Amino acid sequence: MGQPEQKTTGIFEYKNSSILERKPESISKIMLRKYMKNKLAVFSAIILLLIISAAIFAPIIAPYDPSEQHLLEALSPPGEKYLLGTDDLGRDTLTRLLYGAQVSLIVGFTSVAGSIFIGTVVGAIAGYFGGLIDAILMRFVDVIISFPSLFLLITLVTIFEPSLMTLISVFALFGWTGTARLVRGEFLSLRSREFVLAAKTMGIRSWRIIFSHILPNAMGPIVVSATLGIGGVILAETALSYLGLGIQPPKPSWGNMLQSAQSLKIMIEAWWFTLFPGLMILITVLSFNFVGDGLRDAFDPKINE
Amino acid sequence: MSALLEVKNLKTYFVSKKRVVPAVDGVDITIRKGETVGLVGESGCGKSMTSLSIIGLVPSPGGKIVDGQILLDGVNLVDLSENNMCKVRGRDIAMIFQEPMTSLNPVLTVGEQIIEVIMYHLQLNRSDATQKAINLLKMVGFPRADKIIKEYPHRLSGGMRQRVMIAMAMSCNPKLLIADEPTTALDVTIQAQVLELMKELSRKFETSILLVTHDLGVVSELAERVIVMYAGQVVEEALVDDIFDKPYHPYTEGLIDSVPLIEGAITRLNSIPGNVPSPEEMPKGCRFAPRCRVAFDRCYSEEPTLQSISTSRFVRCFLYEEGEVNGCSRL
Repeated sequence: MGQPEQKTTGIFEYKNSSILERKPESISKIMLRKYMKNKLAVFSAIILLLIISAAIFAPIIAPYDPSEQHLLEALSPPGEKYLLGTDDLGRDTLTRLLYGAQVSLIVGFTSVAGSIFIGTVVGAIAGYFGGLIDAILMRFVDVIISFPSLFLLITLVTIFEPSLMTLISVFALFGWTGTARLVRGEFLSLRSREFVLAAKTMGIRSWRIIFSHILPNAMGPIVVSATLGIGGVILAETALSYLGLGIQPPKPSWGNMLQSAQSLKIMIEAWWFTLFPGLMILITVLSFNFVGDGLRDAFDPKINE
Repeated sequence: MSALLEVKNLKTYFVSKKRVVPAVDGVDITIRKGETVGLVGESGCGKSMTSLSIIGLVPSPGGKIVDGQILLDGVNLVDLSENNMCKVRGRDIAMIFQEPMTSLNPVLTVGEQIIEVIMYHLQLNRSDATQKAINLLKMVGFPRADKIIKEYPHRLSGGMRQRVMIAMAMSCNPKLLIADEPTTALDVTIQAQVLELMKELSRKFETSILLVTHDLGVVSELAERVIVMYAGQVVEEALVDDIFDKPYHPYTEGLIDSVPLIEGAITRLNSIPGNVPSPEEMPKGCRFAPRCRVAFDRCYSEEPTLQSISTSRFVRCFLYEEGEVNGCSRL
């Protein structure tokens, strides 16, 4: 604090206070600086940005049409004409990888957005109000968690015939339980904080306290779990597609491109055919995990710069 | 002057399956317009629970106002719906807390927090509300308030945050300001500034203040009348000069004696032995008897009532029954 000065009114004023001289620094700026310290996370974020822009601009970058077949040149190894080789129907692997990125990322982002939304609302209500509401909602969560999820996914996808929409809805409707528990925990500790009581004494209503006062304080863990969740969903989509229950060919996804890896002969003789989609999945999921770790540190007030 | 706030026979109990804990047990408080009343007592005597009852935020589940009335300008707040109570809070009654460090939301700027309250209660648009917030911050002593509204609380000192809290509390010109230990967490020099500010604002806007504190120094600085609470009950009520001049209840006397003095001989500081009994193990008879220096047989068997000594003075003690005021001076 600077030099206090007594005014004639008797009310003391903060003049020349050094606090006012410094430029205001928002919490997001401090977090960005902390995030930048984690080189691996920064590198992963760049990789992800590249993958995302490649997916967005796939129609421009891709040399061929994703379902265009060159049967005479099936299973060509990587070379000048086909940079990453072709598959058993003579389709360009690079092109299909680019379009497959679209599918994988759309499934990842939208289903996580859905599950985070449901999980946050349920968790916030349960944690803030507590008591009976909490007990009912959390038992419901317990029930959903106890379902054998992969089996359930397979059943549901079979019933509603596999499509992008089905996949996204199934992942969103069954993936929110972890977020709900996480958000509930955050709210349980935040609701007894003094600033919540202070907001109540100013007449602020419950729903505003929940969503505009407490929720921003719980944003850290939510963003981290969302980031890690996207990686998880991409893997789950891969698993379902591998089993033939995900995105249906000829629409390419990284998962259904791996489907052909079911044949050992192809894996040995046309390694490029399965290596590249597998590599893309690995890099993408790993990047999401590293970015999640970086965000976790950036949000953690205990980790100093 | 007419009464702004009348608390009549307030009983706030905590009820669990096993037992009933009376945290506030039949408290009466009257505050007139523009008056500052100190509510004094040790930790756990029910003073904070009394103030939370007035503003309708008794911790639940568990806590509940089981009896009594809280009349604000004749309206019984106990009967109001939660919806209507939300309109009273912040507009008619506002509250400031002990810990300015934790009572502001760390992820919202100072401005956002004040503006939200103004927009909600006064139905102003954002730019008018922003202007009002700037004026309020100027009023509590920030000359460059237009900068302060963009600051996050972690960049302000404890004294500055308490000023922000006061600005927010005063934003709708409340009739009653409840200040729960407003200066306890602050440095002594900052304490004096904050008290001065509260005094000034209360004079300017005729705001009544209920000053909840255990600090008798703060009370003598700010309050006109003092209510002393012990174990959920009022044990003494008097004008501030009278109570420091001649405390009647042995508990009040003990409280005043345990304030360290700068002047005078260096002696051991007096203290009241023991603690406030926990509400579930209330002693039979007078609740203060086990710690009282002058307790006699009757104190252990019968519960004293609040006696009127004069129009402004009440005491809950057998020593002063039926005009025996002079029967027992400081023993």
